[in-house]
Amino acid sequence: MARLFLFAIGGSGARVVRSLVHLLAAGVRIPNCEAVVPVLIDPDTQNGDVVRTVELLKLYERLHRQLSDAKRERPDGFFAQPLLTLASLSSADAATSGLRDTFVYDFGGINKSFGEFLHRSSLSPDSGGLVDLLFSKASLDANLDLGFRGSPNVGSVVLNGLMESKEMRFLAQNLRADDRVFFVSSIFGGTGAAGFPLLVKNMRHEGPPLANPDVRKRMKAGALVLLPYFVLDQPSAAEIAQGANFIDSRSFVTKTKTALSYYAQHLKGVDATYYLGDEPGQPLANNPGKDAQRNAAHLIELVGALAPVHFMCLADPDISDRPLYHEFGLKAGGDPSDFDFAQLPDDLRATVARPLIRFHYFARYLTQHTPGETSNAAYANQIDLGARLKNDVALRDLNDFLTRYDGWLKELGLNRRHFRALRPDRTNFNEMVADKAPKTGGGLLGIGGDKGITPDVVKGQLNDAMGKLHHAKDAHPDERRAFQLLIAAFDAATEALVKEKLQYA
Amino acid sequence: MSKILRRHTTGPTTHEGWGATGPITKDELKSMPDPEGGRAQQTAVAIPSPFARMHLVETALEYVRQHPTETASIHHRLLGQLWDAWEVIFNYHQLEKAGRKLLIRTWQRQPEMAKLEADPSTRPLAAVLRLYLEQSDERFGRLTDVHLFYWTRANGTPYLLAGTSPLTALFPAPDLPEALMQRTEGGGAYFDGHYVPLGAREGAFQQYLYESWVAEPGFRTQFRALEAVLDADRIRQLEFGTPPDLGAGYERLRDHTGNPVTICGLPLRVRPDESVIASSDFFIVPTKTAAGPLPLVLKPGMRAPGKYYFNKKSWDDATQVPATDARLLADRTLPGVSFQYPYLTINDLLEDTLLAVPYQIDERKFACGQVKTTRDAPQDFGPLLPLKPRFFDYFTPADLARLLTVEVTAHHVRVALRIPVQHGGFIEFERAYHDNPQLDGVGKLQVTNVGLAIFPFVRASDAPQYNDLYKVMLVDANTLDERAMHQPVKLEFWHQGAAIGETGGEKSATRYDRTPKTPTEEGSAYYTVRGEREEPDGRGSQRKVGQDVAFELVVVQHPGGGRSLAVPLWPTVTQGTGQFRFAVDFGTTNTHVAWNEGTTPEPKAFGFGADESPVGLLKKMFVQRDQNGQPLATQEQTPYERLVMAGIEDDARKIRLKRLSAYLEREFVPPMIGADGSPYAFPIRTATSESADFTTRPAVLLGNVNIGFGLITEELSPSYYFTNLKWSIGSDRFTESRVRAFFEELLLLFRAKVLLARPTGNVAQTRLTWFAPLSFSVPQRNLFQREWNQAYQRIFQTAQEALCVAESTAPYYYLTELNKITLGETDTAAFVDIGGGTTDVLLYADRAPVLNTSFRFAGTDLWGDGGARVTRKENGLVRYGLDQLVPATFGRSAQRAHNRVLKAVENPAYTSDDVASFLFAYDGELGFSRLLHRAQHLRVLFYLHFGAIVYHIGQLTKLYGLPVPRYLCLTGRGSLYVQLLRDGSDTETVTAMVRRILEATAGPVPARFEIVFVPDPKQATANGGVLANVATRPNPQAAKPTGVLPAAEPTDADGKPAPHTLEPAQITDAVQAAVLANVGACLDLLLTDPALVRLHPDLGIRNAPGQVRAILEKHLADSLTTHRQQYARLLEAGAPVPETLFFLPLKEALVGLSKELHSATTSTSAA
Repeated sequence: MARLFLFAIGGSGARVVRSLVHLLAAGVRIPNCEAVVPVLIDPDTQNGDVVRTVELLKLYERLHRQLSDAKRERPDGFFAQPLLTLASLSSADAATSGLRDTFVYDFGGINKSFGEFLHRSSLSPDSGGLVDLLFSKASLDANLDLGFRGSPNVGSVVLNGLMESKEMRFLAQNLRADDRVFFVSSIFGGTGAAGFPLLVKNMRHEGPPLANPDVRKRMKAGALVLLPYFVLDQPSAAEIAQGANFIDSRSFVTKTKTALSYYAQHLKGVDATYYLGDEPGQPLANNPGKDAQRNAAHLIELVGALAPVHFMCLADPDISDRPLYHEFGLKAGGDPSDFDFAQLPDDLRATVARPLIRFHYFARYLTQHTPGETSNAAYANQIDLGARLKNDVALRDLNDFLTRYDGWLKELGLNRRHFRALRPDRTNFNEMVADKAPKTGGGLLGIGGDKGITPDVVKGQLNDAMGKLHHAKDAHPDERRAFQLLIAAFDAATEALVKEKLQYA
Repeated sequence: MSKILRRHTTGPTTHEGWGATGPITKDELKSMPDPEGGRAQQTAVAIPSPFARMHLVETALEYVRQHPTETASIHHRLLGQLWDAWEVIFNYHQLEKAGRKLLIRTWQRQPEMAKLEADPSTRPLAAVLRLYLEQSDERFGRLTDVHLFYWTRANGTPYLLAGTSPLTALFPAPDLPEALMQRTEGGGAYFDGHYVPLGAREGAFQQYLYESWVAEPGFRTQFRALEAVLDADRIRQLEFGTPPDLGAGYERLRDHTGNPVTICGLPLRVRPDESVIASSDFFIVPTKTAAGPLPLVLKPGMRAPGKYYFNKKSWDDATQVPATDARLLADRTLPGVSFQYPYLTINDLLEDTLLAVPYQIDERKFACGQVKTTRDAPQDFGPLLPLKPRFFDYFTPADLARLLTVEVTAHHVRVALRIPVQHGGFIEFERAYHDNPQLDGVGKLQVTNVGLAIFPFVRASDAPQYNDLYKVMLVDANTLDERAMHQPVKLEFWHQGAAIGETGGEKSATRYDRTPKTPTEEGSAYYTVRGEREEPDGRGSQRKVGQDVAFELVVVQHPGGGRSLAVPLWPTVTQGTGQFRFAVDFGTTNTHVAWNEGTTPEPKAFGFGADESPVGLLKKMFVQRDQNGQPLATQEQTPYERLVMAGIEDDARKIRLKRLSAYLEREFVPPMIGADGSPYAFPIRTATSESADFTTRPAVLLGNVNIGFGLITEELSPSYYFTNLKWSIGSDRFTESRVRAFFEELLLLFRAKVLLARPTGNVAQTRLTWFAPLSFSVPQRNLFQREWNQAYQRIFQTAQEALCVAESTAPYYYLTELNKITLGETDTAAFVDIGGGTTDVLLYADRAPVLNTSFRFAGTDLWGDGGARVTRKENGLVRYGLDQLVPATFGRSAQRAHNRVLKAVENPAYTSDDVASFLFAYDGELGFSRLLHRAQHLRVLFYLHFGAIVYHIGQLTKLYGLPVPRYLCLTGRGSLYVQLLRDGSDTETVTAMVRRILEATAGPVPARFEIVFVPDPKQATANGGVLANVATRPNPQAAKPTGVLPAAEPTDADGKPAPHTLEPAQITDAVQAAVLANVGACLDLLLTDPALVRLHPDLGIRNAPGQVRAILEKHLADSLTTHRQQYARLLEAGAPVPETLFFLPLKEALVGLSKELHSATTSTSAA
């Protein structure tokens, strides 16, 4: 099976990966994909979006590893999608290459100005003149540790260094014929807009320094091109006068147009392009880089995360003739400001909405009810959950992950085109899904009847599931096994709840 | 319908989830709204390529093609910069001429890439350049060079302007600063951020681009994006016509190594070097030889159909000519074509303010242009010239009469300046000036209350070294306006096309503020305009040589803005051959100057009338007119009054200039002397006029010190006149400065006289004589000689020395040379010259002067207050005169005279003899002489004074063994009292008196003894000086008998009396007693000798018996002591007393006598 190399470039790329990780955690599977290998590329290694996503990836990878059995692949369920770091493709090679085992490309911390990077001062008069003609003084003076601050032309030069890097050489060496590559970047910023075409050019470039030119030439490539979907606060005149760093979001559309014009003429080698953009809502805080650049999650990123999923659905023959282009349509009349799963087509309701609902039930129950049931619920007793919750690393990781999930979900609700499909503020399971509620009532005088999904119902399901899973050999499961059992129980329980109670389809 | 998550508005709208669409191309992008884009702060370089800036231009072109009506988008701005850059490059030669040359360097792909790749540190740059040159756009594949265009800032540092691009031919550099150079057409400055479309740019540039497009197919195929914004119709039109010949019409541009600049093989061409303008209908036609290329003359809104702008280019009436061009003439580019060539426009020649003075300007002395005055225009109004000095780079003041018209009406002044241009044409600049201009282009009319005078107002055309010093008076009466009150009017002097600086260099114009303005009074300031250069004198040191500074223009600057010109029409003369001689009798009280020139030997008193005045006054002489405006045949007032006296004051019109005359007379130079009704005539009082701060600042002639002509007409008190110059010199440095100033001003007057006289004299030939009294000590005499020489040699640029003549010999020369008296072979004579401070005596015998002597017993001793520094004016003669005046009977002129006398009386600096000279100066009005005839109780003073002098002459004659003179000639201003004495009776009585005294002292008197009263006795000395010739007239033996008469003085080896020198300390009691005894004998003779006593009634003398002698007796000894002590104080150690001691007792005694006689009479009459 193929592997998918997922290059997420810049802050927007990182945020799409963040959403993708939550989707994968919920059990969304990337079809025909043996493993996803995300590579986050941003010279601004302090970028809040990147850091957050890398940590999330690490958590996921550990949780996935805890749940995986060398013997058999988990076909589905929470954390089922294998996700690998570059180094883990070939640990032996990686070791000799000196590759770090991480998801983020190592720029080695560029802490100099672009002019210094180019060695502007030691250039000949004419080459120096050419550089001055091609780049503004502000660009030459800007320190690269903040990324390219909306200057893709600067990015194109700096990121070209990527191609000489050990990561790229390693990747090229380890390519297989059926591997695919997918690029995620925005087009209106600096890093993504620059890095994406550069990576494509280099990938398709036939010559050295990269290995496997034949593979690279034939390899199927997809790309999510994010068009503007948010705006930033415009700094005050006083702040501008003080020389405040900022990104001028008023130029987003102009830059998008310019870049797209350029792509239309000059970018070749992408087999499937996914365009995505939206009218912006309230402006976000304006932080050009570093830790402070940490934008709230956005529905567009969630939708964008579905692009590589779609790309992997496409069979090779479908994308061999001519480039494909895609856009995403919501099933909705007009331009609704709120999003719920009803706006997804049926297939996505099944493959995306349904796992997310299950994961939401899981997350809510595990964090809100399970801690109080460790001594009086069978599913908990069987794996000695009370003690493990405090001590087991995996459970702590899970808890951490679920906390991040909760944050992500809440953020999704903040931006225009609010994500309202799941309601993070509700504790009543019957009210958690916007587009469908469990059938309740039918009893007489308030006695009996169906109360929908109640904690007791969930607990019952969990107990049932655990009971089915529990084998004699699991009398005293080790930490790893206990964790697997717990997740499996929730997998089964939530599946049943969605199917029987919510009757989601 | 689904909601598609996209930004553009086209494309499929029905799919749910990921659905197939097409690529986003320019059509989709067009539908993507970008309302904020134009407001972006930063240029969006959204193209992920190092060559993004090149691509950006292509994107911009596409956008502009789609949005032709917009102007503000960043795309439009970028294209605007591209056109700006190309237009600038197109004008390569013209910019080079303008000093803003473009530098063109070339980045050569092959060697530069090799260099970059060879260096590990630049290898990443090389890699990315190679990647994009090879992998992106195939047009980069053909790129072999990028030419870099550098421009220069004002400080000379180059900055990048643009580069060549395979996509759009050129692309502008980032960070372009505004170029501070106006676009030729289309408005604004290059790179000012405004989009000026190609169609709005200069025609020649457009033509070049379109011709390139048609003639050079490569432009069309390579730069398609550019073609999209060109005018397709225009291209088609050109295609149908004759194919343009680019090679003929344009020049190929070359880089700094001389290689042609090409873009993808296409040569870049520029406008040929058109700045060689061979012809134009607008070339100025100057009357002066002007430096540099002849500018064109253009004006805003100029209509000139059918005229050639330059070469074969016709003038286009739509050409925008600015009213002002801030650039230097040499830096200018012609309007509408932007290549460098000088041109003149209205504000180069006309000021926007016109200053006017509140009186008519003398058009014979200052250029006024053709003045047309309407009937209702104000009469006392004189517009200065609102011209910029630049006008005179091309024209002379004389041209103004032809080129400038000034029309004065009741409400405004309209000025029209016609500048001659090629082929007989004129460009006329016109501007109206109003009090309160409301419209653009209308000038402001500002009255400035100033008086202006230039001295000496003459220029020698053949001897510019004599045009080296000018003094300019500025009376500033702008006191009514608050701002003007606290700021001075300033003058600037232009000579040979540049303003003369304040200090330093060979030319300077230094201002001296003399009298400060007050809210009610004018102030005054004086400029010294001097040209001086040091040259080796051939004797190893430097000498100062005069440099021409006869300024062509005076720029008058009114406080708070506003400048106009006063343009002197210098009397310009060529020297003649005549030798002028001037003789200066610098006397204690009065100074007389006599002069003559070769052809007219009779000396004349120095002076000048209005026609040869050395003073150029801006103000015109007032002319009385009849009802029809015609000048009256007979003017009531004298020319002097009509020129100087009229005061001007009208607060309603903020006009105030009432005391111009006072400043002219007090602080400057009277424009007429001794003629045309001037109150001044030589001899003048020996006095200087000084500023209040004279003693605290360096002396500046006609700055803070000048000849005190005004003393006798002064109406202010106290004012700063200083008399007593002659005998104070050497005692303090201030007096030395005063005397120097006095001499210099005289000499400047003389020099002007030489040049202004008809016929003109020769300056270098001019001779100067001065007189030294015998009573001068040697240092005193040397000091004067030095002062005279220095001033004379500098001002007349001569190596000659001033001729010094003994004061006492001068009248003799005068009288004998001009046969005023004729002396026979055996005749003897005594020439007695009684001045203010000294009396000089020359004894003549054996057909030659044989002895001269001098003593300080003269007018001052009769009219003054004595040696003690008394400032109470108690002299009896003077007090008597003052007391006897009856103002009630005075007419207007007598009243004015009386006022001036009273002011002198009040002046604490004046002594009685100053007042006496006032009384005599106004004798005609006040009748002082007549009063003295009746003063019988005082006339004894005249008698004693004259008698003592004759007594001394008699004793001298005897001592030196000379014959008793047959003639006694009386000269000198002081001798006038002898006339008073005579007029009381007749000549015979006085003759009898003298005869008796001589008999008593010297022995028998010749039978035909005569007293000769010389006409104009006061001028004899000076006149004699004019005639004196040092070569032929050796001075006779000088006698300074300090010993005691009648005892014989010591004799020398030959038995002749040897000069007996006696130092003050040697004047012992015995000597004093002998002197007093001799004086006593003299008084006995005069007062008791029966023969003389009998004459007293006829001489009008009546005193109580014994009274006179008794009073005198009280003072004689003290007087001798006082004056001996004074000598002891003044003389240097070892220096002898330079005169006889005989008169010393009498000096104070006579003063005392006059006081007592007068007070006795007063008390008598009171009783």
